[in-house]
Amino acid sequence: MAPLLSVEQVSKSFAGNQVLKEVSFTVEPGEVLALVGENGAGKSTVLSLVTGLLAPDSGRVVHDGAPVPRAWSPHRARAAGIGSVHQELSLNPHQSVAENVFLGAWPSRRGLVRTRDLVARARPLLERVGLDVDPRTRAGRLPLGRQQLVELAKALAGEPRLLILDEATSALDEDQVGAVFRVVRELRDQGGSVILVSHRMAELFAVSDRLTVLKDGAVMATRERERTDHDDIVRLMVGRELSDLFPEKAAADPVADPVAPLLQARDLTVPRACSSVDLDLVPGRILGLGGLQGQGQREVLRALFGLDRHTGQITLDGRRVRLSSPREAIRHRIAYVPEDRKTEGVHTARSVRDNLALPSLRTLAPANRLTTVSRTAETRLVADLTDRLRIKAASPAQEARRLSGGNQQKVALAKWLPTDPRVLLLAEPTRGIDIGTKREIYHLLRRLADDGLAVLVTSGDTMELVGLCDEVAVLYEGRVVDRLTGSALTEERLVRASVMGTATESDEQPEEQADDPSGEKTVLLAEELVNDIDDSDRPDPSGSVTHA
Amino acid sequence: MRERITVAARGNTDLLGLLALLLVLLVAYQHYDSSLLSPATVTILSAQFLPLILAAAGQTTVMLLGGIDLSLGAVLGLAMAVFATYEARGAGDVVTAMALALCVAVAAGAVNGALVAYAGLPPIVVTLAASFLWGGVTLVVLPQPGGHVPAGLVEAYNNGWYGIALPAVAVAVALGLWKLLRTTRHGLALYAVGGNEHGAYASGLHTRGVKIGGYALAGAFTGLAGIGLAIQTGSADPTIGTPYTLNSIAASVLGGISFFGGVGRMRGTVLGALVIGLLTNLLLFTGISPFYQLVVQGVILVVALALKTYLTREAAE
Amino acid sequence: MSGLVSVAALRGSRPVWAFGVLAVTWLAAILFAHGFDSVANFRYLVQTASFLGIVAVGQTLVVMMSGIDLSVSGVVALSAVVCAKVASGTGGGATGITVALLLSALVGAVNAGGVVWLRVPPMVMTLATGTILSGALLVYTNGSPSSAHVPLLDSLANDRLLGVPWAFVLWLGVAAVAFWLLHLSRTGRYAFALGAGHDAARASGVPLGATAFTAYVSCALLAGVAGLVLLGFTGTSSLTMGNPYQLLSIASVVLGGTSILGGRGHLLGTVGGALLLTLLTALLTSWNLSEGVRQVVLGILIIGLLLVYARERRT
Repeated sequence: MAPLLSVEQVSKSFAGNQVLKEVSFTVEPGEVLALVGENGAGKSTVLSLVTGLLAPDSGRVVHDGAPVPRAWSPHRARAAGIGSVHQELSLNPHQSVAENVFLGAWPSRRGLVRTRDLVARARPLLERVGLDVDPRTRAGRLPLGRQQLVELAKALAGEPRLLILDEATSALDEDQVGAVFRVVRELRDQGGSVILVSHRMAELFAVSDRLTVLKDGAVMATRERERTDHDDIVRLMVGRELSDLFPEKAAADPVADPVAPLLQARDLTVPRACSSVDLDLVPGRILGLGGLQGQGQREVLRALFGLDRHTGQITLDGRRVRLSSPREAIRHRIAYVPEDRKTEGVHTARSVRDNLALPSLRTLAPANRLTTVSRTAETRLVADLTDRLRIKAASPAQEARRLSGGNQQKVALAKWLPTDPRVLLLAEPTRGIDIGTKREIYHLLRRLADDGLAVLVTSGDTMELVGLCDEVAVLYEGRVVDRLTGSALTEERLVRASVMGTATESDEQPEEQADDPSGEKTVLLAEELVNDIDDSDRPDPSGSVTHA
Repeated sequence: MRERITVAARGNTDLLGLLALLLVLLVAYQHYDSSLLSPATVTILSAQFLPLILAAAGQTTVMLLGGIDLSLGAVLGLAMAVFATYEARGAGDVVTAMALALCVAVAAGAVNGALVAYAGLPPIVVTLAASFLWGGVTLVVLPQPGGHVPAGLVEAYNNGWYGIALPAVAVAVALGLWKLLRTTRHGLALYAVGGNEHGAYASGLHTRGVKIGGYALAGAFTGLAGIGLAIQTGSADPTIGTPYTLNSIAASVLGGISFFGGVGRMRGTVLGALVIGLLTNLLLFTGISPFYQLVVQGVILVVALALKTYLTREAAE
Repeated sequence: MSGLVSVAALRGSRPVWAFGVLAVTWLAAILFAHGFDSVANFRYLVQTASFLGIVAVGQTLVVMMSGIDLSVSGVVALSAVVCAKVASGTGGGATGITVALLLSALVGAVNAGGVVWLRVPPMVMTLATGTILSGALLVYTNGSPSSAHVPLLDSLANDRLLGVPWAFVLWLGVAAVAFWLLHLSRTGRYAFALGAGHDAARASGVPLGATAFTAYVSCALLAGVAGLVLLGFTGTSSLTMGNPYQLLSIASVVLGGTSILGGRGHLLGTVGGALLLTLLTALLTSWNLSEGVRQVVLGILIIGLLLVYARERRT
């Protein structure tokens, strides 16, 4: 039987940077193919070639036995029976769910689209993806996970023979993932094909028939699912064994050697996000905020940086402080590396130099706002930072958007260092970053802590929290439900507290089970939020898909 | 039933405030001119308000696409000039003149749209440059105020035709067509592109075509506004359109149309235009110098927007 | 890092394009059009470009922080009308100038206040203040603005310094100060940061309020200055004298290579943009084209030039 889709020797470059090198793979009818690879390996790019968002520089895409025409576009791809759900949402938040489900292909009678018709036709599709919402609801009102299911319903509305799921499950909970897989299997059993991209290894192994591993824009190997395992795939993805990913933790035992906290938050409450959160940030220590996605971690950080309105007491060095704006927080020498790197962390359209100098302008032009910024001091500062954090940029004048995600993140972090912060707040510090840079950032954070900074990290990556932090506070529905330190800080207990929303007894679980990341139980519990071991392929929420 | 009412009310909270303001204005108006609800007054008022309402409808169409049209006044003047000079040159009847003026306005809108869609230039810049272009074409067609509109038409438009307020009918028809369009694929596509352009493209919509169509439709509204203005005043003036650019933006913004596209209803814009129009007239009645008109208009615009921003911020927290 | 500037970098720089097009156009004008080869003509051109240029420099400051000022036309008229009325009345020239500039700055402060505190989009806010200004001027003058001769303004607009028109000298001085403000001072960095991304700027501690006030007040002040020079040039004030400057100042900024979305561009580009627009207008006039055809050609030329070098990156 001829393959439904075959990608043949395609290459693609952006601005001289080759992101795909002669990539080839095929998808047979009735097959689920998993595309695996680290972030930046080229998965999204190759899928964009299939869905018509991009055109290849060389090579071709053959669909249904014929090469796709030059003027391949999302419109034609959809008409040809290719449906896709991307990590970047394509819903219009202001239109109703039903209108979104049929976006671009609204069923009409005599030219008129009737709402009643639309709603009636949307219902079975929503049911099929396990979504129980009124089709008349505005799409923007739904939580992220449900929006992603609407995307899936939308893809199904085109009655695709090839369904592409690009990180389509990243915002879903366990039940929702189950619904997606039901759809995938249904489609496969009817002879349709699915291409699946996910960062959760367990998911890939649960539904795919074959796995194609991409690394640095080239296909490393394609494996039958029965003939491979997690370790094999990870080795192909990473291309090397990685040792000492995490640095040594703080030596001092908090019980034996108590240090006065630098920043204390008491009864910290952000309306509709978190309530009565107590936190102690201690110099030399890294505190983590864990929990399922969206339990108020983000808002706690934003409140501490003066970005979100909050109530409660915050003391710094024993003195009450009011953090009502970022400027105030910065004055108190608090620094913040936000989750959304491309809109809050760095100015992507500005040079590396401008980005790095921005928070330090006060010292570079000390007298007042009308003082000239010292070019020499600025150059020295920029050179020092790029050197110290090994930021890979063609020159300091290079625009930040041309940097890789990891280097952008280094810039977002490095720019604070000259302001001599005492408190460092980081949200998802390694999201969408390759594993080598991850390691560098972990070690840097530890060095900073050793120099006396108090560090607070939120992360959806359990392994990261357990490996990096000295203590982790677990948030559930905006409240701290558990605090884990020392030997109690294990992935298993962290996941348990996150999911259950209660503190776990220290003697309830034997330790060794938690250390076994491929253990069935951990995987099941972790399904909801977590990256499996060696996961370094999280979606970048700001969208790493490149558009021409 | 009750649920439906609350849903409807929630969807129109912006409009309720505007509606209340409009009612206050109407009551005040009634105080000065007790013939407010008489057919004659309705005709006069609708004749007076038609150009602004239709111009605002054009601006709204562009704003729903996430754009802005700074050339609207110029296109309005162009349609006016074409309409008023074509027949005067003895080249055809009034209907042909109307059709021609409309076609010219639609074409101007489509050119704007094509530049926005294909050139990669922001709408504000394109329409800014286009305002020179269309303003110039207008001056070529009609260098000085003049032109001619048949007296019978002017009379029927301004004073009613067998008791029918023609301008009101024209506005109703235009809005009815908009309403109809909104329920077609094209209307939905307009909102979809305005709300999330990239998403719409990735979902297989011809976003460029939708944009060009939207700008062309805006041209149609603007053209009608220009024709209406010509009939109302009985002649054409190449520069009379200029204030309509700003006033149409003001009416749309008052009516709750977002600058970022995809959000807002035409009915809001109509209310916004009515508020601006009534207010202008009311100031005349109150005997305050008409010069204060512009001051009040500007203040209302700022207050309304600031209030709205404040309220939405409160609601979000 | 060194003094070497690569050709590629120059080609990618939009302000350089502006000056390149200016040079080519000027050369063409001298070679092919009549009367562009005289010193007197050159002098007249830079003198008239100064009025637009001063407004455009102010506009650049606002656009760079991703704002826009549509009230400049109102402020130009305000400053001229008020100064003329005060000067022709009891006040005298100096008082007139002072009052005019103070009022202009006040308008700028109101614009900034609306944008920062009321969070009204800049376009609407400045549109509204512009509208209010036109109304206020009508009320103030009762529809008939006065003319006045203020000796200082007369000589500023018409006299020369070593053969160079004072207006041009003033423009260059204004541009130099604005250059320093935008490209060398801390405030300028803040303006660029705000233009490149509001959220990232806020999260880096950029003071929105202070920066916006500096930009809008400077812009309004410069529009006021332009109004005064225009008053000196024409000897009379009118309610509509500022109207051409609203769109032309923005066109100068954009033709000078500054992104209308902010955060990208160079102040000197605006100088080139204003000169280019003035030159093009003069060229079209010299061909005895009608007002309408001139506008059409100007519009097409602006669109064409923007297509060549001012496209926004597609995302």
